[in-house]
Amino acid sequence: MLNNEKELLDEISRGNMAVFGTLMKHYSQGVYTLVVRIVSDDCDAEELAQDVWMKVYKQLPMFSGRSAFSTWLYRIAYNAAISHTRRKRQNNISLDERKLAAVGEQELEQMEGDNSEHNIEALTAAIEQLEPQERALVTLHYYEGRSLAECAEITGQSEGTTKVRMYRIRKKLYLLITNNDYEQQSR
Amino acid sequence: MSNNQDNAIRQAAQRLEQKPLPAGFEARMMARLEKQQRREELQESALFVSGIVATIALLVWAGMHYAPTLDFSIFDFTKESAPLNDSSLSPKIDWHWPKVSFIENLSNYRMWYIMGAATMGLLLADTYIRQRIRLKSQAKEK
Repeated sequence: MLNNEKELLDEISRGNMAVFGTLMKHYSQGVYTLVVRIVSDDCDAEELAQDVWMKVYKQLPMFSGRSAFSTWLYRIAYNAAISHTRRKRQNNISLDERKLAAVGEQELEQMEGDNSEHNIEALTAAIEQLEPQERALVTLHYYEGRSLAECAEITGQSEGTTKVRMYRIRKKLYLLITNNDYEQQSR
Repeated sequence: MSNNQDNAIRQAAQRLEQKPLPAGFEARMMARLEKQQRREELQESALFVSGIVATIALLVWAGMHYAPTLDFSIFDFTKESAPLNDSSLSPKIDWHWPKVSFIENLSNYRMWYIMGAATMGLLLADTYIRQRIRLKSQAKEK
């Protein structure tokens, strides 16, 4: 977060474009990373990132300041990217619910505690196989280092739902790196 | 989920391919924003001018069309003074609910609707101008 963010936002609402440029410079890489990880396409991601910033500029006077600016910004980016993936109907991997339910906390802890190169490489490949919403959550929580409460605010869900989704993602990652018997299904 | 427990997933997430911003992204974005800003300003000015023109046109039209139909003899001071309760001296406007069809009624009262609309238009234009002046002066102060 920028130190004088509130002042910068006031300046922008008065039409100061140079200040908007400063704000954009600070956050554009983060926004782009989130978008590109959700849509998995560089060209689409650039267009979407531009649309996000246009939307931010237009809606800035309506920003109430109840949440942090970055949370509000990431929420716009998340919604734009998720809408895009819905339109594109990407092929996602679907796992058997019974197998997911069978994964216990002990196995998850074991997976997360294993810092071997093999495990991390397998996890990296597995993250890329997740659904767009799940990749977004992993990016926000593990890459951006945002708390589950912030992730919930960005994705527009309750904190409880986000916790459940994150738990499910961890289980899915475990299945992806251990079983390798997922089914490719188009949704 | 403690930080230690997430360690492997966090490392994997950090290791995912880092896509840098496309070259010239910010410059392209700023150019697009400036273009949008100019377009908005133009639209705003056009709306403002057309609002003023429409309001003036309405007032002129209403005045030209209906003023001759009113009896302004009450203002004719060349006449001898008449008793205050002489109702024949008031402008000939029927204030009672007329027993005519809706269309005729609309026609009879059209001038008042137009005058009302014109007044509302002027009020809106006035509020808009004041707001613009206030915002501009605020920006100058800063």
